[in-house]
This record gives sequence, structure tokens and C-alpha cells, in this order.
Amino acid sequence: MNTRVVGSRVVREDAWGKVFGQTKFPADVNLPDQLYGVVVRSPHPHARVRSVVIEQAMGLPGVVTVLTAKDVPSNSHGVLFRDQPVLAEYIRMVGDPIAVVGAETLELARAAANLVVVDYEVLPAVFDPEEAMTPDVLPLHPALRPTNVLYHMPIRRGSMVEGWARADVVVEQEYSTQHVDHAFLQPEAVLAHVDERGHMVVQTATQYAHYDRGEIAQALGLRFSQVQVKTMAVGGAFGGREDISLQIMAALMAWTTLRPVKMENTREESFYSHSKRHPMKMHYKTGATKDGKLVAMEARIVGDAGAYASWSINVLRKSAVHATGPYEIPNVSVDSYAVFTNNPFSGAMRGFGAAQTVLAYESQMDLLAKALGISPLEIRQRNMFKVGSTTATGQVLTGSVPLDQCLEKISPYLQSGVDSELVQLKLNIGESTPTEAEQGTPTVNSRKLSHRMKRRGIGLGCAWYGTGYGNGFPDVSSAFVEIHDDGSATVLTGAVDVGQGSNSIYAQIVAEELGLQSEDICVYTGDTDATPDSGTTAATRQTYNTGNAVLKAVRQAKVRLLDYAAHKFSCPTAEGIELEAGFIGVKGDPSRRMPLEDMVFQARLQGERFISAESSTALSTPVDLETGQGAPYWPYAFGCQMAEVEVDTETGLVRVLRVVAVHDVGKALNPTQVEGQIAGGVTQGIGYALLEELELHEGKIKNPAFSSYLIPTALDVPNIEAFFVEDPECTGPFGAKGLGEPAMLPTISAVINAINNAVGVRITSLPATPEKILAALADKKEELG
Amino acid sequence: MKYFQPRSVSEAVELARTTESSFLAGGTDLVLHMQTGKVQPKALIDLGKIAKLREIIEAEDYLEIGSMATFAEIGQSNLVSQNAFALWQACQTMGSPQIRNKATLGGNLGNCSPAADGLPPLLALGAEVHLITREGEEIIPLASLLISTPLVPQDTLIRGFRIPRKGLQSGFAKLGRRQALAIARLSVAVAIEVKGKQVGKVSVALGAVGRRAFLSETLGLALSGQELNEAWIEKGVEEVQRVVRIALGDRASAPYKRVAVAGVFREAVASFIPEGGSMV
Amino acid sequence: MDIKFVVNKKPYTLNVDPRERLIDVLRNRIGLMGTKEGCGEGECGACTVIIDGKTVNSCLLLAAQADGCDITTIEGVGNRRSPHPVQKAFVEVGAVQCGFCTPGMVLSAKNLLDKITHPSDQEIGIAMSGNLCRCTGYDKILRAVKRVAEEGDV
Repeated sequence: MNTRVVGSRVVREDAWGKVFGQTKFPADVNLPDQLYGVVVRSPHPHARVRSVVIEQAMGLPGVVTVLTAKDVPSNSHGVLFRDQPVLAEYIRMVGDPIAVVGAETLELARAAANLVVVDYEVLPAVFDPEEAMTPDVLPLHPALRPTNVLYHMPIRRGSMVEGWARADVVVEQEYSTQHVDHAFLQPEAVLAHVDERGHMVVQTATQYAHYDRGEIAQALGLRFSQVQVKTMAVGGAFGGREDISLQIMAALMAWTTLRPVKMENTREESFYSHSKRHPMKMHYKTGATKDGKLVAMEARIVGDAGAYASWSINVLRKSAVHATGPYEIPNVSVDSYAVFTNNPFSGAMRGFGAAQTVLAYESQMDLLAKALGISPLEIRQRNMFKVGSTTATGQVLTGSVPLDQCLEKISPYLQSGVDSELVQLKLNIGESTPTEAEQGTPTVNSRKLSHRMKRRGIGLGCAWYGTGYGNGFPDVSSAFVEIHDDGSATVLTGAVDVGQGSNSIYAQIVAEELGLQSEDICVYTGDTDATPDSGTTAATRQTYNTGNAVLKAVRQAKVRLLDYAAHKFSCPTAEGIELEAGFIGVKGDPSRRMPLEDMVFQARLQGERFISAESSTALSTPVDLETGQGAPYWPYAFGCQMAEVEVDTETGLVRVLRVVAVHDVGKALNPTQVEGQIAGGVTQGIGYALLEELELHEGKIKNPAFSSYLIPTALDVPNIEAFFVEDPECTGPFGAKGLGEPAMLPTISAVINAINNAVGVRITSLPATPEKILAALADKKEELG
Repeated sequence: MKYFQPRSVSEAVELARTTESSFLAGGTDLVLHMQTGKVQPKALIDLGKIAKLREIIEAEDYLEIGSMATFAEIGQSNLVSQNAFALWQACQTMGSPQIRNKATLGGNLGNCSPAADGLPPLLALGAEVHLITREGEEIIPLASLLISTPLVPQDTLIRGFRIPRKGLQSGFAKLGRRQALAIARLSVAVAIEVKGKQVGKVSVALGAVGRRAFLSETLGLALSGQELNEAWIEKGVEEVQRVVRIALGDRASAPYKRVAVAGVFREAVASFIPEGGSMV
Repeated sequence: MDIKFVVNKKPYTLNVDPRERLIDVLRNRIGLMGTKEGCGEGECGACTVIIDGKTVNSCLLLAAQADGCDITTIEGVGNRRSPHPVQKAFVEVGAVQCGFCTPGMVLSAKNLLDKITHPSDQEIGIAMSGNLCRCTGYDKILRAVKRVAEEGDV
């Protein structure tokens, strides 16, 4: 399909405001006479609140209110179940909010929060999911589940007896992953006030304004129509802004005091007030025939849901469905569990359950390749999904399944022995230490001496990712389009741009259809008083799903416009009318055309408007509860990456030198944004694989700071070469699929496999710290005697 | 809280004597500690407006670096790279550009974190600290100062550092988890006297191996007065591992650090010894 | 205490508490919201401002320490009619995603290019290493700075 605006490197409409520092994040807005809210949080992982004494805090001049559980009309919220208290009386994790103090200044509110006296009955806590699963451990949510097992998803396909009987080679290994924080740069903030209509107005940064509205209304006992959630600029999300953090507390205080309320997390508070990526233990057993065909796979996956359900069911379902990797395996048995503990609650994070299993299945592939004496590329090509393949849940993959094209594109980069120094790096940043930087200063003689202890290696990782809500849950997006009298247009949708650039994508889609430029399109999103609910910005669904809704909406408006024009130009059908470069007219007849604005204005004078509202629903089917069979997601996105690493055998430090990433995007609606998603995903993947780990001691976070929770810096990222494969997905807008989450998946296993390639040790638990690498090297040395 | 901005050293010293104040250097640690409530000074004496304290001066026998010279200034100084290469190196990788623009060498000593990047190079280079105490001026070896607790009385001003100009070859390396904004998990500074193919006196200082950076006498003795070759490096690797093992005892980080220090030592030495192990 | 400084070429005389951080004074007293607070401990660099030609973290600086200084915040760099080359490159190359790190990134890049017209890749990487970004993976940011460095007419 020839497109003009779609597929081009349109500049993001929001970028200018951001480079000038004009863009308002929620911390940047204030109202006269606002109160400052500060939360009192539990230091205990499991406790009952016996009493909260607020008199001392209230006694501080300037303190206006202290709210506790008894002040919340309906004291709960949650994405799947309302199992999370707004203000807790029963504590299930360190950081559970108990009270919120409102005062005239932030300093006063902080001081008063320290004066709130909470008497706790400390209860025994459980931190290990395996232990929490046992029947003798008391359930944390007896109203939800009789035990701490929140969810179990089995997948049963084929016959394991037959599968193992056919297997010539079997590899079995346990893998584990860590708690990870989203570490978005903007800490949660909110400004709530009751406006002149008597409505509750909440300005915040969220992934889903309409969800926040519902939870606020529910907790306060208001109608949806009385609550406006207006999304300010969102400073990164990655799944961490799906659950409610401060929104209800601020709204409640504004509602009870009738004063504007500002709340803003410090970085430490932020660590305690949003979800975490699920740590998982994954036991894998995989068998293949001697000609390299996978025949059997068994996996047991236990995910730590932490204190609240959040998205755990969906996350562990995603783990199960994606457990095989993008490979055909006829005999599969998977058991995936989500288990409550007193750890920080786990929820959505980029990759959503598929980011953990990629470590396991891709490590297994390399182990099998080694056992069979074939290359990592070969074993993947022999087993990869193709059009017509059947997944472990029995879903037949139709349409776009271009993993073969991705692998073909990456294969030239997998030639071992290619010295990466010979490859002309486009951007050679972060290659060496800064000692030679300054003019007039001596250069370092040689670094070769320490290089002797360094080994390089390359690794391959593949991944697949089912986009959308999945499992039969109606995945609906909506959009309103209006073509203005001057020929420009506005699109309204609830879909929040969390920084990834979806607003620009919608502008491109509308411009494409109307023969305009994307600057001619106003995109307004994430305001519940003005935009229709378009679902959450998650599950890699906004380009695909809301993109579809926007496309349907603009086409509907366009149909009426074309009909009107056909009538105007005495053209028998609307088929004969075209919109191009701001003109509307009869195809092939330059004499019968006029500026779009003239046409729209004439229509206006005759009482005709071009306005539309449309929804688009992506379909999936729920899986069978006993066998896991079903078609839980659509579409699936695929990708593969090569990582080259250098491992210092003396210090165990790993540096990623180069990543080549090839991703299936259906159609790149904006190549610049595709590259941006890939580079961002690769970097988060590197952080996950090598650096990031939330350290917990009895449920308490030991490193709730950016100086101790380490994410990659500009010097830690390699040269990233991003490629994409365009194999159109017929259900997507202009053939597009989403990319946000898949981009980080292959990196994880590519890095881990590259470490193995470099120094011959296999790291099975993330992150691959220098400690683990040195310990593994020592073990290997011992084995070799 | 009171805030003083003296314009001269004598004014600063006088303020320290007459008020209950803390000195404020660059503030990259102190301001943070004030925010978290870890320290609550009654008054601050901001040394930032005393130009003299920022100077880097080449004297006959030593290089004097004012306590308020920032890591960025030291890291851009040719005098430092010529006379104290290890320190110059440490200044390239400490924190981030923003922190290096504000953090000072004097503050690095005053705060005295176990991982302070500036201290191992100063120790290895035999630096002395120039103090202004209640009694007057005092020059004391950094190695001796680092043994005392508290480091200096509250009213003692760290005036600067004197690094002997002995033509030592020196190098510094640190082990951090990332390439920037990395707190040293281990750091090694080595300084040697070169006499033809022989090494004379050798000084090795370690950071992030215990409460404070220290100069290892054991290593100095073990490595001094020998032929400079690959075997010397391997001996150094072995010895430094032993020193770290003893220093860390059964701390949780010990099993890793006592091994990994080998790579850090090797990199510090590689700063001035090319492949093959002999000097150019 | 009274302090005087110049922010974006405009002189200010303010009475501040000596404990007040520069970032709070810039945001809450002067209303310059382009300076962001991401971590409060000098790690993320979102609060970067340029003081007397040097980038610093305004969350680690007392306002009093900036007495007598010349401060540039993001609001003092370019505008829609005449964007700074760094700002233009950030927009055109695609270096902006969520935008929270962007003001700090722009200031770090601008300050580098003010000092060195044609910095090397390595110098660019080091200059940008005190500003964390969680969205872009730095790739486009570094490319944007490199583009300006190559054009070199800042």
C-alpha cells in the first residue's frame, strides 16, 4: 500500500514543548490555596493496625486534616479485584498507606506525618512464594482465595509420555528472575480539586484515565460523570502507572476539605507506591530429537504476586502461553502459578510475564543446540513458528508470522569469529574509558594488559509476544473525529500517550486518510470529560487497537465527506472522489476539485458536518481452564536480537558492546518511533539482564533510590542497530502491529547467551551480576580440575 | 539555620571557632544528607566563595591542591596529570559531569565515604593534608589522618593537599557496576618509583575495602625494590588479593571482592605499564 | 537570608531559607517548572541547570550556594521561533519520548557544545552520562547531539 504520511518520519507533535521545558507533568501544576498531602506508610510487611493516633499531628499549626481508613467511603481499588485498600487497617506489605496528612506546606505535612502514631499488631509474614503456596500458611486474601495461590494456569497439549519417548536429548534447568522496578523518571504526582461544577477533578499521570476515574468514583461514592481525570504529560510508565497510587487519596482529601490537594512522591515513596515486575522461578525440561526438532517441554513457573492481585493472573497467564518461545512443540505441559506473599505487589511491567520466560526458553534452546552440535541459529530455524504453526495452546497462527524473515535478516551478524572491531560502528559511544578525553594531557599507554583477561562473545535471542488484553476480554478502543470548517481535523481518544508517541501515530493515520499533513491534525487524549474510553496504554495495544479505532472513525467521517462531495461534483459514486494534498475532487479530473476547506465550509452552510465516533474491538478467546487450550492473543509480534558482550574474567563485569535488533512490526507507521522503541527496549533489557534488582529484606526495599537501584546510563548502552521487518498484519491499521513490549524481550536472552559464548558459563538467574559470573567461572575451573 | 559565606580563609576559620558550624564544600553529599535529615547542622560555612581554596599550585617539591578544587577542575589540570596521574584518572570517572562540577577533593575527604574516589590516589601518591586547626596550621600525612576518629575536629578547616613531586608513575582503577554514576565497589591506586628496569618504592592504596580507604604497608613492602616485569604484576595480583581477603574477613562482599580486586589492580597498573610488563 | 542571582539573564533578589535547595527556589519561587526532580540525589540529572558555564544538579545545591551566580535553566534556551540547534536536533532526530529527562539532556548537550564545537563520540557520551533516561535507550539522544556536533554551528 502506498502511503504518504503513514510510514514517514513525522516529527512528534509533543517534542517541541518538551525540549523547551514547557510540557506540564503533574508535579508542575498547582492551584491557589492548595493543601499538600503526605502519606504515612507501614514499616511492617504484615500487621493489623490497632489504632492510629492523629492528635499530635493535628496539633501542629497548619495541619488541616489527617485521613485514615474510616474516612474512605468505599475503601478499596484494584485492576482485577478491588483487593487493595485506599488506606489500610490490615497491612499486607511494607509501604501500605495507613493515613494521609494534609497541611498548608509540604514541610509541615512531612513533619506531621512523622507525628502520626500507629499501633501495629505485627503478624508473621511470608516472603517465599513456594512456602506461601503450602496449605499450612494462612491466606493473605481469604475473601479472594482459600490459599495464597491466586492463580494456576495449566497447559496440556499432546502426550508427555510420547514426547519424552521421542526425545534424543533432554535439557533440564531451573531459572529465576528478580523483582524489578519500572524506574520511570517522573515520580507519581497528582493535583485534585473540586471545581465550580462541584465535580472532582484529578490531574495526574496515568496509563488509563478512565480506569482511574472509575476507581476514584467508586471509592468516593460518586458517579463517573462527577469525576474528571485529566492526564498531564506522563513521565514514563512501563506498566507502573496502571494501578492506583496517590489518585484516590488526593481526591478524597480534596473532597473532604474542599481545597485543592497536591501530592508528589519522592523517589523513595515512588518505589513503595507502584507495582514491581514479578520475580519468577521457572523449572524447565525440554527435549529434542537428534535432528534438532523440539518434541517435548515441561515447565513449572511460580510467580511472586506479592501483597495484592493487581494483574498477576494475566501476567502468569502470559508467562504460560509464551513459555515455549516462538517454537513448535507438539507435547507440552506447563503449570504457571501466581502466589500471594508479603513482598511488594507485582503487576504490569513491559514484557508482562513474557519477559521472564524468555530467559528460560532461550537458554534451553542454546543448551539443546550445544547438546546436538548445531548452531543456535539452526535450532531456532528448525523449530520456529511459521504461518500455520500451532502454539502450545492449540492456536493456529495465521496472518503475519515473519520470524523466519527476522532470523534471515540477523543471520549475517551471527558469524562467530567476526571481530567486532572490524565492523564500522556508526556511533562508537561508550567504547572506551574517558582517560584520553582531554587535550594536552597524556594518553594512557595501553589497556591491552587488562584486556588479556577479557573475553568476547555473541548471543542470539528470539521472542514472541501476544499483544492486546487477551483471553477473550473485550479489547475495545474508541475515537471521535471531527473535520473542521477549514479542512483541519481533531481526533479525540482516551488512549494516553505515556511518552511512546501514540498521539503522533493517530495524527499520521488521520492525515493519511484525509490527504492532509500530520500538523493539520489536533490529537487530544486522556481526558475523561472529553475523550472516549479507549482502554489502557499497555499490552502493546495502542498503535494497533486505538490505531484501528482512529482509522475507523476517520474513515466514517470521510465516507460522509466523499458522499457529500460526490453529490456536489455530480459524480455518480463516492468511489470517484479523492482527497489529496488539501484538495477534494473527482479522480483524474483537475477541473472538478476544490480546497478541502471550501468543501467543508460549504457543507457547514447546508447543515452538513463530518463528525464520527467509532470503536474497534480486538478479539481473542479465553483459554480452557484445565488444558489452557484456546486462542488467547492476537496478533503476535516476533523479533530477534544479537548481542555482543565483553566479559572481564577477573572482575566478572559484563559490557554489552553491540546489539543488532530485528523486529516484526507489520508496518512501521513511523520508523523513527520504531527505532526509538527498539533502542529503549534494548536498554531496559540490558538493565534487566545485568544491573537491576530490587533488594528486599523481609519485604522492605533496601535500595529505593537511583544511587542503589541501578539503571543503565548513556555510557552503558552499546551501539544499537535497529531493523524491522514489514509483513503486514491484515487486522492492523495499515498493516501495523505493536512493538513496545517485544522490543526488550530478545535482549535479555541474547545477553545471557553471549556471556555463555564468551566465557562458557551459563547464568540462570537474573541479573547476571559480576558475583554470579565469577562464582560460575570458579565452579567451571573446579570442574575442569 | 545560619549561613556564612566568608571571603577568606581566616574569616572562615574565625567563624568556625566562634560558631557551632559545619563547613560546606561542594555540597553534593552534605545537601543530600540535610534533605534526608541525616545531618542537621546549626549553621553552615560555605567555602565556595574563597578563591584561594580552589587553587592548584606547583611548588618546588610538591603540588598543592586547594580543598575546594572540584573534581572537574582537577581532572582538567595538566599539572595534576603530570604530577599525580592516578588522581587525575580518578577525577575522570567520579560520579557524573554534574557532580564533578560541584564536588570537591576536600569534601571528598571531609565526607570520607569508604568508596571515596579521591582518597586512594592521594594515599598512594603520599599526599599530605594541609589543615588549619585551632592551634594553627598543620601538615599531616593523609595516611595518618585517616586513622583518626573523628577525622578532624569540627572547627578544623581542610585547607588543601600536598602531593610530593617525586616523578612517580601512578594509576587508578575502580570497579563500579556501571560506566557512569558508579559508586566504587573496589578501587585501587598504585604509585611506583621507576629506576631503569627496577621499581623502587611502591605504594598501593585500596578503597571500598573497609570503613575508609587505606594505604597497604604489606603491599608496599612486598612489591618495592624489584625488577619490573610481568611476574611483578602477577605477584601484585596475588598479594592484593591476600590483603583484601584479610581486610574484609567474613563480610558478605568478601568472596567476590577478594577475587575481583585482581582485575582492578591489573587495570590500575595497566595505566602506566604497557603489555609485556616493562616500561617503555 | 538575601541572595542575588541571574536566571536566564534576569536578575533576582530573593530572601531564602539557607536550607532551601536551588531546584525548589527555581520551581516554587520563580515558577520555572522546566527543571524536573526525578530522584532528589543527583543521580538522574533531570534537575540539571547551567551555573557559570557548568552543569550542576540543582537538587544537590542550596540556593544560597548560587548567590552571585549566573544560572541558565531550560526556559532560557531557545523558543519556538528560534530553537537552539540542540533542541531542533532532539525534535528532528526523535530523541524525545516521555520528555521528563529532556530539559536536563538539552542543557547537558548545549553546555558541551558551548565548550567544544566538534566533540568526539566519547566526549558526547561522557557529557550526557549524568542524565538518566528510561525511555529512549539514549540512542537517539546521542545521535541528536552528534548531529549538532557535526554541523558545528552552535
